[in-house]
Amino acid sequence: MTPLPADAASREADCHRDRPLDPRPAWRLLITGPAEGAYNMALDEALLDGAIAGGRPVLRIYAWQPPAVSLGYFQQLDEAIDRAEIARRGFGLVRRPTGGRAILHKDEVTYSVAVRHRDLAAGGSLMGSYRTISRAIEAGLQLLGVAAELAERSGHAKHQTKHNLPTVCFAQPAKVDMVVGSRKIVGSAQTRRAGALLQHGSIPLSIDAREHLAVMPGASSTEAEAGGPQLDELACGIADILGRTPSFEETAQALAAGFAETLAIELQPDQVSAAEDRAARELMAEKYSNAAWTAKPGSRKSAPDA
Amino acid sequence: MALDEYRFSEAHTWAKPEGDEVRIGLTDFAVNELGDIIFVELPDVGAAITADDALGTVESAKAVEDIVAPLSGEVVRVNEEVINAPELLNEDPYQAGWLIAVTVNSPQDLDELLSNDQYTSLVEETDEEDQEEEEEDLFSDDE
Repeated sequence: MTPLPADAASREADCHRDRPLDPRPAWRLLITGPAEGAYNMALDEALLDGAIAGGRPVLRIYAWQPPAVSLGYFQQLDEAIDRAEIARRGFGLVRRPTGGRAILHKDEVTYSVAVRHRDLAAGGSLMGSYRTISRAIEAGLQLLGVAAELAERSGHAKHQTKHNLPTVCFAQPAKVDMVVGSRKIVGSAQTRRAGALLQHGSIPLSIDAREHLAVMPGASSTEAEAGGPQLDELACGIADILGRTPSFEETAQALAAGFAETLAIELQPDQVSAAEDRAARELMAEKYSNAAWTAKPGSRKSAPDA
Repeated sequence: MALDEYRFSEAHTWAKPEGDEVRIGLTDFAVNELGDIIFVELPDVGAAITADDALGTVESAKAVEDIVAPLSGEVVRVNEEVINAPELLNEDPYQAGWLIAVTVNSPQDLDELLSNDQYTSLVEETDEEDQEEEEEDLFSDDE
């Protein structure tokens, strides 16, 4: 948990009072396109490190090539994930720095936000930050014609405990996810460290339930409810709602516009810096391309810096 | 419950002296912020922990967050029950939900932590701010 400086409340109150007179806070917009899973996760962590060091907030929008399955930070790499099938299809397998459950990243647009808590106008509490970022995504999806909302608000959120977690993220909306009706359309996860947070999330353009089942047999149902609804009844992609598949670029621009409008920020298009790229490649070697990191079992004891 | 024997960090961890050891855990404010805790990751016995550095991690509601050490020392015991049943943290953060016990490098470090009254004041300030944030969210939802 990050300490709240004693003067934070008054400083933020000043910030709120001054907002209409100030220029919009500048965030960096990184549209980085497709990359392999290990690099994607490493770059997101490098951007979090940049935020911790005092860098400007970042909205990154990206994709995955080749497709990859990502696991939550604590998720067991067990029989619910078919590693042989993942390899046979030429897909990647990577463990995220964030919580949540497994995702097959294939035909999707992915966002990430790296920001200090104090740079989110409404504050950086766990649910507060999820709500703020969700409103931005909601606005972006609305521009595409998709009416999504936070599952917490829709009444379709599932109460998650250690004992009823699904294998697959999209098999169950947690209160912080976004839904269209009762179907999940955005799966997000966070990590929080040293006064900053990284939130990233998957926005499928389409969901191939059969392919999910092939690489993640646990996707057959929510497991806790054997015989329950199948993945394509629980989740959807943008194309399922629109009846057409928007391009990556169109979706990215809509998301960016949603963030700029909702958070009242100026999004400045930028490139990944050489230092960020170098840091990401170091993190790839250390963690995200490292089989020991990917196999890391959940809920275990570890050295403090592990 | 009375928390007079507990000392607190601004990062929402507590430390409670017990003989030669100091038990460490997360405060009720921290676990309420996190919501239902699903996983806990703690250091091994024998590991060194450093004040203000992460001693482990906790996951809830799909966020992974560092547990920040309130003081420096060596881990002498780990609460295996809380690893197997993380819900203990939500149910009883000050007793059954303790995380680790350490021998501290400098016993006077305990004196630099906050008293129960000081920590309560800090949390009340934070709660007021969160309430403002909630109200702002409600207004936004009404728009």
